[in-house]
Amino acid sequence: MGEIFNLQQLINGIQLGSIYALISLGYTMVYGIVRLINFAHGDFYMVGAYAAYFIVNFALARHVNIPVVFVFAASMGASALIAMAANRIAYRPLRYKPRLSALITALGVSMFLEYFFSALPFIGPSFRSFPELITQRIFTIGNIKISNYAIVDVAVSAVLMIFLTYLVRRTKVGMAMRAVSQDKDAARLMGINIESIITITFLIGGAFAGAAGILAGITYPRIYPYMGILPGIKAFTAAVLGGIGNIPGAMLGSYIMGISETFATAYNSLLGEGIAFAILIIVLLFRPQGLLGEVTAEKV
Amino acid sequence: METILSLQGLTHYFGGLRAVHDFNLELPQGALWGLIGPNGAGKTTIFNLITGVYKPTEGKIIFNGEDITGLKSHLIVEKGIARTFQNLRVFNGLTALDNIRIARQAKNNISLFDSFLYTRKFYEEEKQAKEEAMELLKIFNLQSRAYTLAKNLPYGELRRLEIARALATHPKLVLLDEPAAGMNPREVGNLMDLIHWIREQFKITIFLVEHQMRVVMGICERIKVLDFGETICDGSPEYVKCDPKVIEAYLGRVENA
Amino acid sequence: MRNKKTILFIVYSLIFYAIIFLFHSLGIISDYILHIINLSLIYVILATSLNLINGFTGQFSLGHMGFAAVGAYISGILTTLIWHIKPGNPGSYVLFIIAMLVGGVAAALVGLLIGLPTLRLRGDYLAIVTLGFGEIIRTIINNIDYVGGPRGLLGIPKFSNFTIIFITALLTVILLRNLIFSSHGRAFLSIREDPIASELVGVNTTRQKVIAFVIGAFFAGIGGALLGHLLTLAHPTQYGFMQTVMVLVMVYAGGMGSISGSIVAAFGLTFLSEGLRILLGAIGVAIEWRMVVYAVLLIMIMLFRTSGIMGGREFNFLLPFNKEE
Ligand SMILES: Nc1ncnc2c1ncn2[C@@H]1O[C@H](COP(=O)(O)OP(=O)(O)O)[C@@H](O)[C@H]1O
Ligand SMILES: [Mg+2]
Repeated sequence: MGEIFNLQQLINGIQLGSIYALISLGYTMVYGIVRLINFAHGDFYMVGAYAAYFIVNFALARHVNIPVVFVFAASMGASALIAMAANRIAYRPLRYKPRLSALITALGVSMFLEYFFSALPFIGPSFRSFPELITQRIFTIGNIKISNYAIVDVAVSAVLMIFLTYLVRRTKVGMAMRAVSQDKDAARLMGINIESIITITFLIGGAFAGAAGILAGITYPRIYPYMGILPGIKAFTAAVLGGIGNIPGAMLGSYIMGISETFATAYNSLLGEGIAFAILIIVLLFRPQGLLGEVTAEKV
Repeated sequence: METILSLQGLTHYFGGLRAVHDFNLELPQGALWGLIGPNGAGKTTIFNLITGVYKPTEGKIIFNGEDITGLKSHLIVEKGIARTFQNLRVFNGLTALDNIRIARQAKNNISLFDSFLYTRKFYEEEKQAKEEAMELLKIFNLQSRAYTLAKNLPYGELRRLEIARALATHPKLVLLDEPAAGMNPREVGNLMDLIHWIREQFKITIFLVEHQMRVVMGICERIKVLDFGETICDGSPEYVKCDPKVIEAYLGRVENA
Repeated sequence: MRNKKTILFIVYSLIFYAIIFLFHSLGIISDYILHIINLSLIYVILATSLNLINGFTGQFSLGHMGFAAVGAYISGILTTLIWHIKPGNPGSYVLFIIAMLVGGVAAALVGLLIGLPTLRLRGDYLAIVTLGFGEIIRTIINNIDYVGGPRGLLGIPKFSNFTIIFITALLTVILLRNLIFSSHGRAFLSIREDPIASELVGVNTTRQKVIAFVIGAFFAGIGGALLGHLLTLAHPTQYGFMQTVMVLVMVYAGGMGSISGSIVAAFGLTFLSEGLRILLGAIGVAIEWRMVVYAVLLIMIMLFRTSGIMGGREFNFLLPFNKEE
């Protein structure tokens, strides 16, 4: 302890920030495209963690050795499917209704997932310990310890973020996504199928949240149905901090969030819990468009 | 004539798009001027700048000798500028009467205390607000619609309701954004008479936007023509009508006018 | 009072009060049922005040039980920890009412603190800020030993009885209704309908939103104070997100912008909730299914009947004026 600003905390902060980043990106992409705060997004992360939990335990029970990559693919798929279903059932019918309506159904979807999972007898409301998917190793360099989990967290999220950046910048789908987020009507006139772009956005956002769910399971190996609420709020705050709708902004905001939370917690645990909220209020007060966001004008 | 509204070097960017560039105006008290130009020329943006919806990137807005640039919209309304919208923005879920009464809000000095307890002052104020609103509805031939929800009114009546609502704020200057949009020729004729009439009756200044040229030709004393954010012509209707630049701006592109 | 309809409404309400009171004295209504009625009346206060914010003004607050917690704890601290009063002579009730009002004012101040920075912005930020606030307030309570931390504030005197709860609920309904049928109320509605147009006809929208939010928070604080003094304890888990959602479901099921709807839904859902609790307990099913029911209900309402049971209308006896008067 003693000194508060040390390298160890910084590394822990970046590790936490990587997980936030994967959640935050889904929030920001969905907001950018349909202007909806998807409350259920944190729960997609929870779904990802449980999917991995069941797959790994299933394999362990049968003494099958399944590749880690397969686990990732499967639970990212599970979260993506849930995200897509939520969009199809609860958000899409309200697309052209007052924005409040979809916000309320998003809340409903979030509650549904949380309580449905805790009501199901084979899941239940209590904590479960996440199986050891990767054996932990600790590398000691000087007086800092780096776990291979930290390396996995940072690496997986970096790979996914590079993929996303490539997708958005260089591919047709990415171009269409940007067009829809700027001007839906113009995009439609250009022949873009808005609904399929929205579906793709939910799929990607869900998959990323699922990946974050596994990483969190590996790193902090306790999972429960409400595990998505707080990381969800924090990741959303990170998205607002970076500038909601802005992809690099969400990444930047998440690292700032992860690092400041780690340092604040080291100082005082109450402060650690409150720091996200404090950051949110400060951003809204002084720079509501976020660090990288632009001031956008609603058409009148 | 004294100037009521003066726009000096008004410029506005949306991101990289320059929607309005170096727009200048000296609008005299009591005038009825028009602003025309093809779709996307920047006309509505100028109205949005005047009414404080957007803050201009550059330039100044002087109303009655007072710099109002960057002021909040409701304060600008309080100073005496009211407007209508190109795509109607009435309060759909409220009655015609309430649509009008809301616009009196700034003039209303009813405290929370009076509202909670329905004091004598509350009743007096409500009575006056209602009488005034009914008066306006009558002028616009909407009195029979007072208790109809706005969403159930036909289009032509909504247009009139929006103008009535603007007048309810007791403005000195009214900005009309494409008041004739979606009307048939007969309705347009009536509307022009009405605009003339309210100017006399309420002693207000009117600045109106149109993209169909023939609407403004009949009533405006002077016209500014905008294209791609630039002022390309400025003068009397006769002058503007014959300006080759204006003709090109309109005919050079697909236009429904 | 110059308003005949209001007097009539008060008379009806007093008849309702007298019937319940009589039935309870005769033993037709058990203590348990009376307790549920008391809870329903407290939910009437919570739901109508949340409706002011979410339904009438069109803002999306998720922190309502957070404000109720402020009211419950502040009033509880006064009666339990500072004054050490017990229900008894009229003086003790006066002190309780003061404690309740202080609780309401404290909640209103917290509302002001949260509302001022947030309500200037696009509507949906309020949702996340109030959600965060709900979490924070619980974290804070959990960490204050003076109020019992995670064990809760115990031994709160039982000042909330049917009479006090009834009168408070009645006053809340009348005051909120009066506000809604006034120029302030029209301004709230215009913000819900179209915030930009509202600002452009001269409504100071930020100010009106803050007013609605702070008044909503005040009544939530009052509701919380009553709840604490009914249950004789205040516990952080009573003021969580789940409970806020319960109130939200009341608002949307009853109908955005309808006080009558909130009243009906507060009674309906409080009884339904108790019913489900007993039923699920009896058949041995996890209590979480109850919240699953609410979640599905909320989604269904939004998808199929956005305007709720009352469709934004009011019972005639609740209106302050006859329609075209
Ligand atoms: N809020 C906005 N954000 C981005 N671009 C806008 C916005 N409002 C208007 N524009 C653009 O500015 C230009 C001028 O628009 P506008 O003033 O509405 O034109 P007009 O009213 O003359 O038809 C158009 O190219 C339009 O697309
Ligand atoms: Mg226009």
